[in-house]
Amino acid sequence: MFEKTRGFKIFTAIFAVLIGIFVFFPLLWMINTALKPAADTFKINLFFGNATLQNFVKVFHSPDILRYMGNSLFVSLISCFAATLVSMFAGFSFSKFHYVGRKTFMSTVMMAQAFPQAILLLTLYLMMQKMRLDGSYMALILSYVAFTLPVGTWTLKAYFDQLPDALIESAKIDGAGWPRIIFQILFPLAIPGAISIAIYGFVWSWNDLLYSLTLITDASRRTLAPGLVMKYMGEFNSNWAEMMAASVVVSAPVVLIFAFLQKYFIAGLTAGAVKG
Amino acid sequence: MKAKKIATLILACAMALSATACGNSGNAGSAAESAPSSGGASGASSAALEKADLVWAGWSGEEDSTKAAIKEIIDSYNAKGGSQVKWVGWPYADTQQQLVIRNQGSEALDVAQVDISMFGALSQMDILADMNDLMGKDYLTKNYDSAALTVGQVDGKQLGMPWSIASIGMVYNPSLLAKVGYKNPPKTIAEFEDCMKKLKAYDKDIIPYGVATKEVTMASDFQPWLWTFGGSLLGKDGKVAIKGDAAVKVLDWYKDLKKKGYIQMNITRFDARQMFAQGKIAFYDDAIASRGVAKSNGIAEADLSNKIKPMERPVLKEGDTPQSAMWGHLLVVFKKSQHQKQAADFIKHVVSEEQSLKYLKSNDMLPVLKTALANDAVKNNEWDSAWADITKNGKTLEFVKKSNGAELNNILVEEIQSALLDQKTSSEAVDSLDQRLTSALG
Repeated sequence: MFEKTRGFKIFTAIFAVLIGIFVFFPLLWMINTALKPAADTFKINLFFGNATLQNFVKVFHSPDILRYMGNSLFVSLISCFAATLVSMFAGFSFSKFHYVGRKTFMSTVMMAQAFPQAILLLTLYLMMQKMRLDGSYMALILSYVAFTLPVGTWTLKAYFDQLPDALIESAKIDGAGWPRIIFQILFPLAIPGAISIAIYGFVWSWNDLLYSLTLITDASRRTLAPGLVMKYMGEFNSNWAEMMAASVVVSAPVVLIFAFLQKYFIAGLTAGAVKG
Repeated sequence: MKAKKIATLILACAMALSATACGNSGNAGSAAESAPSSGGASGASSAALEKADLVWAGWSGEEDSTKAAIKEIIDSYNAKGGSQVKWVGWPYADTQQQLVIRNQGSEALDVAQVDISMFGALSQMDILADMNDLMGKDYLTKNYDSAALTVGQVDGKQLGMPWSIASIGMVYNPSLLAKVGYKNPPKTIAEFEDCMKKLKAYDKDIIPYGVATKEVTMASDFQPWLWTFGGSLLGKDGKVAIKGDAAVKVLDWYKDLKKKGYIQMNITRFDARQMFAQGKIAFYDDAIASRGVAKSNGIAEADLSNKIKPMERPVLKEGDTPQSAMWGHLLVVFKKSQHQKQAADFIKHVVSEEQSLKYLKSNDMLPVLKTALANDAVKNNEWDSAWADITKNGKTLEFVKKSNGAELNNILVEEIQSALLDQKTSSEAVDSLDQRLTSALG
């Protein structure tokens, strides 16, 4: 049995602090810049003594930012819900059914993750044009669902693999049909996995720039990422102070989601990692 | 089992191929659809042309500093009652990518605002209409500044209509220079070095010269200095001509400036603008819009003439021509546009004397129409007329019309940085540059 000596604990603590600094320093600097006056943006100092909330006030008073947040919230919620639902059914199918072509299709879904999203942009753009969906929220939602599906399907398949087939057998013996087995027995047990995929899908959609920039041109439908870039990053100048304040504000929903649901996220991702 | 693996591989390859095929499917028939109906329609007025709905794409209509001016241009054209123009915008950094993507599909796109750095790649893609056909070559040469027209010409065709063209020159802080005894900006490199030495002695925290030492702005700041020292990247035959004393000398000069603390690593033009406004930089390279940038970075309107003025680039010896790099925005019409004549008519409105003088007033962007350049509003404005003089000697950046201009600029930046970081000697960096550029140009 591995013994955690005092030296090991000290080493772990120091290592954790170093990793923490490395990971959290950019976030800290973002908050620091957001709290500094614009003239001090490039000064290498902390905001103490000179802190101002002016940048946050301007962000909250900007109707554009609030509209972008609303659009992003709408698209992200719908796409994460749709992706989760489809992934649950797909994962369940791969896990509990055996049919011709199952393994081939599973491998194809897995390989779909290998394609960089930028390569698929042109294809998806042309498809959306031909379907007359370009410029609509549906184009974004379908794209986000398409990118979340491979990860979602495999994660939930692993989750369903852990559920014993005996559950299904005993339900059938009790006279339950497939809808009841799926919605009342199996899916409730897979909720932690579903939540992890929902979080993944939400974060993916919330942060996306490339697809939302390409598929949506109407300013009234613009989402957060392109909205922030267009508002604060110009050809000649960039308003870093307000950009950082806006970034802090728009990060809040994602931070809150992780704060309250992180145990489900971790459980979902590690499902199937340990046998038995 | 083996058959299943083969089947999976075939399915994956089919997916990849279909992704590529879909990328080309949008181009079918676009050339036939977009041929202009007739050439030389410069005499057609807005009223005579059939009304159309036009799409004008770019980035200026999205930025706070230029949004109102773009809206005014569009509203004033639409108010004439002819064709109606709609704006579609993206961030500046993404505009080229978006134009390329949208030209693959069937989305309406008639006119676009492009930067001079984007123009090269777009002009090589055979998607731009020739303004000589749409407006008439005689009309263009008669009415527009010839140096500006040259910027939009490729192989004799006018593929880009200059909207505002000015040089990337140098600007300086008169109040800082006055503190070290310089009432006027330095004219020669020897004076420039002396001025920087005095500035550094005055305040060790000042970076005398905020030349870009990072990213693509480094390539555009370096080239005018290379020309100043008598060198060039490409010869008249288009082949790499960097090898020689001039390139080694300019790299040695850069290294010397860095060693003395007169320039610093990791500075882009964006950084230099911010630091100049804070009084931490005395000289840097920028364009005519720099005064507006300085104001938005915190310099009060009343202080502008004391804090920022344009200057000609110092020369190696007296009598040499001060060098500067042409910069600006162009307007292009796409071949796939169903309304090329209407698009050309709209462009004439955008660059007209009335609109371009309003644009100059709101955004400090020089006009290209000869009558507008001769207008008192330009001639009597110290700032604008100084830039007009600097622009007279402007040269096009050497990779701007290459389809792989971004790659070539990256090579240039990497080798200059390796010399500055003492990873290579100046000679080694020049030799490496010669090899890599030759390979990249094919």
